[in-house]
Amino acid sequence: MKKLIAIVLTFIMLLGIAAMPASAEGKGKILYLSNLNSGAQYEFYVSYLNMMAKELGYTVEIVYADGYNDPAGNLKNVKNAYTSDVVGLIATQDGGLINIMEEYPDLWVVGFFSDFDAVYQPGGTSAGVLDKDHFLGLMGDNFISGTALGEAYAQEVIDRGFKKVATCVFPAYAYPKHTVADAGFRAYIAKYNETAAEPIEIVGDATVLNFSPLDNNTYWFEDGHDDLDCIVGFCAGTTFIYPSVLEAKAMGICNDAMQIITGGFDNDPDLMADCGDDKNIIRLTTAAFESIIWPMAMIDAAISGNMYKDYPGNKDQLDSGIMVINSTEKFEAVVNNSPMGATNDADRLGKAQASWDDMKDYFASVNPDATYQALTEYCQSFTVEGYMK
Amino acid sequence: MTAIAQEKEKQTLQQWLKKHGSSVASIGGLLFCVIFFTITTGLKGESIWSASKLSTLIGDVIVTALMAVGAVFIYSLGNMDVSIGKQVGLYSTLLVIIGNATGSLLVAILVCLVIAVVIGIVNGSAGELLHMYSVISSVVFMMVLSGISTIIYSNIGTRNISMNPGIDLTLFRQPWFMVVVLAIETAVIGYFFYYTKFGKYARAIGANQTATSQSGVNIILYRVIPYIFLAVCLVTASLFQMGYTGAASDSTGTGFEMNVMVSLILGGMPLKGGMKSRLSCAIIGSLTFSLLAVGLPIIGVPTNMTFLIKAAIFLVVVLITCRQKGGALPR
Repeated sequence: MKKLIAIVLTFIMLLGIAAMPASAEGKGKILYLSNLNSGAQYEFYVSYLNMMAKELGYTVEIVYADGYNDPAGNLKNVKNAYTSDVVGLIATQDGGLINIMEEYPDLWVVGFFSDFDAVYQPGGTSAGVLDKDHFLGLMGDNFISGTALGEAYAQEVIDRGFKKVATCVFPAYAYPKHTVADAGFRAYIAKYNETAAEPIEIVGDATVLNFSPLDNNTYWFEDGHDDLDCIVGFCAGTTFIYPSVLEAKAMGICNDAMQIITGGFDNDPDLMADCGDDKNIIRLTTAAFESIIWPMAMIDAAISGNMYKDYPGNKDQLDSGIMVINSTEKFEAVVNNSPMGATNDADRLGKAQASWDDMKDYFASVNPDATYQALTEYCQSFTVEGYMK
Repeated sequence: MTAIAQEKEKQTLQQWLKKHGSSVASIGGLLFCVIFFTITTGLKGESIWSASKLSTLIGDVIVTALMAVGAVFIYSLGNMDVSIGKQVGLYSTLLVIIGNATGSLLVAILVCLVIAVVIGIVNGSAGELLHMYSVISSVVFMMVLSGISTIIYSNIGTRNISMNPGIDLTLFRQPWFMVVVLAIETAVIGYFFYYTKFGKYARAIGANQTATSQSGVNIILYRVIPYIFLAVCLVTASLFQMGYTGAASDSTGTGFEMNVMVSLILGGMPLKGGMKSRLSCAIIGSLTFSLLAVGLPIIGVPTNMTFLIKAAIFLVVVLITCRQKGGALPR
């Protein structure tokens, strides 16, 4: 019986493989080295890239980046997916980027949706890509500057009137930006406290979460944590802070009115239902989804030989469009009006802030007068307000 | 031909299939992949045997194969070692750190070998001395090594470290060198596995430890020695893992123990160990695994589908090769 099952499985599999359509002929294939492999954001990026690629005459192949950004893992995944028609790589991880570019010197590479510390930090393992002509720069994940992120969160704390807060970060060796952001946050609050009638207390040093959730067995019993007004999570708070806070509130070991300020996006319906003015999560900051136009436009310009005349060639590390979702209306807009609430490709593309007709004039291969500066400003202009019109 | 002769021939064939069914399935699977991808990649205007893809294939297979060849000894005992990945991660890291500090890979290799042998001795003997499954000591090592890795990278202040350009690692990226090293390692391990008492006793312990013990075999000694063989193979694999990019990270080696296990099962390794354990399982399994990883994207299978297909093939192989009801997993 089991051998029969085995034969049937094999047969079905082979039929499936044989039925797969061949990739379309065109200008070539662009690999998208994705640090996501599921979820609304991933689905949107795939749909949006495919739409742009189809209009421009490319195909897009998704390659999953190594789950831990390991250099050898990323190199291996790209090498396995590489075929003779590959002309470009949009990378969302920097581990092994230098090795990829040395292996394929003719490949155009652009970064997206990540900080690329291995490239831009002094002494980074992939810093060598900055010397390569075929590296086109990076549009990161919201603020590139940790200080700017920290100050933005501090302003939110001030605006919300929180008086007792604590911060959480990932380890500095893995996410140096978090430590910088935490310092920026503290400096901004300290400056505010100089003139404030009622100063804001930041309880203790930042709690370092070693890629594990906030520990309910210890955290709330540490001095001053039981009556916090807010936790500021520079790390992925929806995953590493929010579930612990829910549990702690249920157990009655923390302030029931405490709220979370953090980054990232999660389209889990239960979590999104708990975001808003009087909910557990008061602010999410994430990259504008439509900012992915930038890497596609850059790589198309390079491949087609129509590089923007004003492209400085300095491999910029740019902020993306920044979505500050900090009110019930904004959370509702993201859930209902943005591609994050869509269930199919047509809906995703329909809900995006920019259609092909809106964006095409920023592509140098379509519009010879397009400029790098205009493209960058356009891709940084997408905000959550765009879904509220 | 008389009915008796026909019946005898049928029985002989059945016996042969029963004895070699697993080998036929695993070698058949590899041959099928070779033929299938030769034809289908050709239809797509590519070739899996082109110089670049062959290089990719060898690069993909080398680390897993080097580890799997050593792990055959452990699996033949009916054991498994889940600290393999973390060991490779630590050795890769140490190779970079010590290599950079001393300017020589040799010192780094020696240090890694010493650590690997110590871990091997503890892993191999703990089960027997403390009367527990050997896998438990390897779980402990997995966690300890993970902690050590975190401490190292926290102190360095980065997730990735790379070898100074002064140390030339080009050799470790050459496909011919990879093949030569794999061939030498396979030959050496094969010699010990098939032609010395180390291999015979290891298989005998996997088949029936009580009977082996009552035959006067020193169980602790012949459980420890396979782990020492594995230790040497892991350091060799780490050299190629680190040499591939000239870098190591806090996540290097993550999940490698599963790659080894899947490769061995794909190669037809009996999970209970014993006398039917074969070294060829490591090579056949690793090659099949890598052929799928390299071949499927060429024929246009989307990445998310490749995981599904690999899982289905794994299931098919397990269904074909599993022989015993209630057969135990390695411990």
